[in-house]
Amino acid sequence: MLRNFLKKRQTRFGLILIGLFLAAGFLGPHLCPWQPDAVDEAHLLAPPSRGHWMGTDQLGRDVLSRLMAGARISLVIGFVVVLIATAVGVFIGATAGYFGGALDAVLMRFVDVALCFPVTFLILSVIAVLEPSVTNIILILGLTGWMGQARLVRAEVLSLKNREFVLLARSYGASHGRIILRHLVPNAAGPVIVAAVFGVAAAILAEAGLSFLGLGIQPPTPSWGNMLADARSTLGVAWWQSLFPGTAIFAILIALNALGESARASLIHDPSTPFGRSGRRPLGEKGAPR
Amino acid sequence: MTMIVFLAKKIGQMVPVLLGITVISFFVIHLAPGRPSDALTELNPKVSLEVRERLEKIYGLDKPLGQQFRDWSVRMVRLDFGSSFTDGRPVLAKILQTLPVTLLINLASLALILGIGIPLGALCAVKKGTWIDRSVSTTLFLFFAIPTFWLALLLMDWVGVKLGALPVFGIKSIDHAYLGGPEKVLDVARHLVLPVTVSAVAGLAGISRYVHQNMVQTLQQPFILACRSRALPEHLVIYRHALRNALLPVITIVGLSLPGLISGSVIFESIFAIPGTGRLFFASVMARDYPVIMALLVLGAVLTLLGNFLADVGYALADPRIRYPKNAA
Amino acid sequence: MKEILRVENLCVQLPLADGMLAVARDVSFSLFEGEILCCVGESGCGKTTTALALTGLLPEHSHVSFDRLVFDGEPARDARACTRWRGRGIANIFQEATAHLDPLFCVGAEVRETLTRTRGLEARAARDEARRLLERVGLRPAEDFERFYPHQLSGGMNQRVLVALALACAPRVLIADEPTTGLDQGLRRETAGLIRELAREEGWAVLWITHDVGLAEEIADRAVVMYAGRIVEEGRAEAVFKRPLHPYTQALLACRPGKESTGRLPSIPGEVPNFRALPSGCAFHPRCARRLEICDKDIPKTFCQPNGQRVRCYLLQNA
Repeated sequence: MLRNFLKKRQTRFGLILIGLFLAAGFLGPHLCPWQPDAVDEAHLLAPPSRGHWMGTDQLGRDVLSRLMAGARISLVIGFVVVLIATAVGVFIGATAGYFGGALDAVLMRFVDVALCFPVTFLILSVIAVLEPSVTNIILILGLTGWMGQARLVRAEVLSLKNREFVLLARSYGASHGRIILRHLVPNAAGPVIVAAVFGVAAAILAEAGLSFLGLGIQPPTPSWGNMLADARSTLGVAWWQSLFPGTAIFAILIALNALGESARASLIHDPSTPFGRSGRRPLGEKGAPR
Repeated sequence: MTMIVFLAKKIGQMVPVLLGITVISFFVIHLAPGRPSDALTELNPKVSLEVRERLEKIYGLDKPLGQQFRDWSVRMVRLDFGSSFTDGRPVLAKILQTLPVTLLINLASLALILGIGIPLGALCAVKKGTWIDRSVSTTLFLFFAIPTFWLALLLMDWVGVKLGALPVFGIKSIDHAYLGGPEKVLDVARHLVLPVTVSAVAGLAGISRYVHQNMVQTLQQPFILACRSRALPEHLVIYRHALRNALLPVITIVGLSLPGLISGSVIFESIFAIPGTGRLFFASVMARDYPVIMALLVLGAVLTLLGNFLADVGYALADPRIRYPKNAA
Repeated sequence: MKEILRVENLCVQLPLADGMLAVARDVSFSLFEGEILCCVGESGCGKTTTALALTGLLPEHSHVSFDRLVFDGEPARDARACTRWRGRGIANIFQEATAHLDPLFCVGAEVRETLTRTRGLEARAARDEARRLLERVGLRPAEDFERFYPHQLSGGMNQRVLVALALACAPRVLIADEPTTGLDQGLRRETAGLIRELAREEGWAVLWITHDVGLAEEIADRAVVMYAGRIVEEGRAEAVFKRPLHPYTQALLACRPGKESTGRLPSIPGEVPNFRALPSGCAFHPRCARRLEICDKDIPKTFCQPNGQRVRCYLLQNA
């Protein structure tokens, strides 16, 4: 299944694009002559030119270098958030599903309650209460995104926990933790990975949105979201200020969604598509047809 | 009889969740470092300690947390959300004032989403593999990925400023009060075109894809083969049999989008300067106006609960397998 | 008796993810009015595919070819022309009846729909006729049964609904694809009896597909045995079942739990071949106790016996 996944065109497209962003985010700043904060007073709000490939904003800062710094921040936030969400979600889901009973009931009620809050409202409320620092943003996004994974894992664990291989493991004395980690969780890996990929996309979008509203990454640290916010005031005149960060967000979301789609197609067994359209070669003919 | 039992069970399940919602909302707000009264007095260094303490007494901020929660819960049940910190008006009134606009936009958006998304999804499923399917799917994929706030900015720039075709701010023109009756309606409608479009784009892609998946699966079911074997006309097979089955889960989706009717619009309401609930929420967050924040949080959660409930009920009504459990026949 | 359907050298290929797979080859048979032809064979030998091909009900991109396909005197130009025969010409009933009924339609509505759309009846006439049909298949009182949904009825009852739907089409041919498989013994007899009775009353030509040789023996007028996508034996029922000529048919019949069986049930050694890697020559030869040198070279032609039985086996070559 993994090989199938890696061979698909969609996967490769997504991975290449993400790779580009990673390179831009981590290598770019070293290659770029401008610092994200550096002000070039001779070129305020200048269109793209040889000196500034993507132009400058109204404070004279180079857009390209800010874009690359923003890439690093967005990608880091996206991945760490999903790591946290997945870890918490898998833990809670597996525990609830495996031990069942009152623990399951309480945990799932908690998940239900957590899911009741409109995500935007919840995130904004918490940000209102705490100060918007990178750590807080990561924590909040992570702690509001684990519910989906919890339910997925719980469902898998529930369906698998009475199978023979689990009973077998118990019979030779494997501890609960070992059973959960080595036997049950890996079986849920497919849907969890798919959800995680889409989760990165959601996290990056959420961070961009927060930064856009001014409640995310605070200026002067560049984030694609707050770059777009800066561009609001120069909307009609400086097309480069909003086009590049906007396209960057768009592109990375496309890449992640493509990756998620092809992961979903290849990692989740779908019995409803046995027929395909590739090739019309006859199979299995040995004797003469007549 | 079973329907009533079903409903009662569902309502019973909602109670602990409701309780959880109130507890969590309350404590989310009280995580705040610093005190809510800071918001009122921060900018005014001349305010003395006594004034501060008097404010705290008025808002009950000096009582122990447990008691605050009890008082707050009791008042909530009476729908008394207190008064806003920013302008002293009753919170409920402020919310109700902004609700109609947001509801209007989001309902129009929902109508668009369902009206276009469902047929598109069904079309793609029926024409699976053809260029229609591929091109529509790709376009929808792009719609799904585009960040709404960027799309809003782009549309504002091109359609609003460059083409001058549609207004970009607010819901009324400056001279709205002087317009005739039907012209007033038209004016508001023109102002709403861009926000509704932006709001609908992402939802459109989501619904369409969902319907597409369900349709594809439904079309492979044995009963569709059986219908075809009886020479039923193809349009009947697709719309009367396949689509109805495929749309059942969509009821759940519609129910789940109920809370989105008030909460989904924070970003584009602030971009288009729409005086709606989303913008109210945003402004309250910026101003640390806790009563309003709490009220909207609770309202959002309750709506979600209600939405889930309505979705379950709707599904049960539509699916005979749930309405009539296995029978003695 | 009148020949209603004639099939000559039908070949079916199904589209798989990595190419086209031939699952039925050179299938030839005829259906006669008022007669039940049983198609017998193990699961996966191509019986259902053949049946679906007759009315174009195979998945998209399947490939169907034939030398001749004639329905009620009308030859079909190509596979697509066969879709015209659905319903009024050829009706189908299926295994797993409940899955073949729309869960959102009560059974009465489903029958009425076929009556109005396929038979063209008016609404009121359809309603009355639907009730009559439901009673005819044994679902009485019809006023009660017509309001039930498929999930509320048992498998056996749903199968009767499928039969009622077939009746509603007023066809010349009925293709019954394992309609009683999965029902318990008593129910199986009842349902089989019902279908046979209706077939006689309506004068249907029936193609009854089953892997249950015992059942076939009871109801068949003529029989056809399939193996690995080809017909290996064909003839009148008592000839095929009492004096089988093809080694596979003989082995199949030997496997039946009979009244005198003692000890273990005999089974055919070897495995059902995979369509992707069929043996050369006769597909059965690796499992055949009486195979000849020639059996793995070329596929045997069909050899006709004096009594009309036809067998695809080199053992009969000189007869």
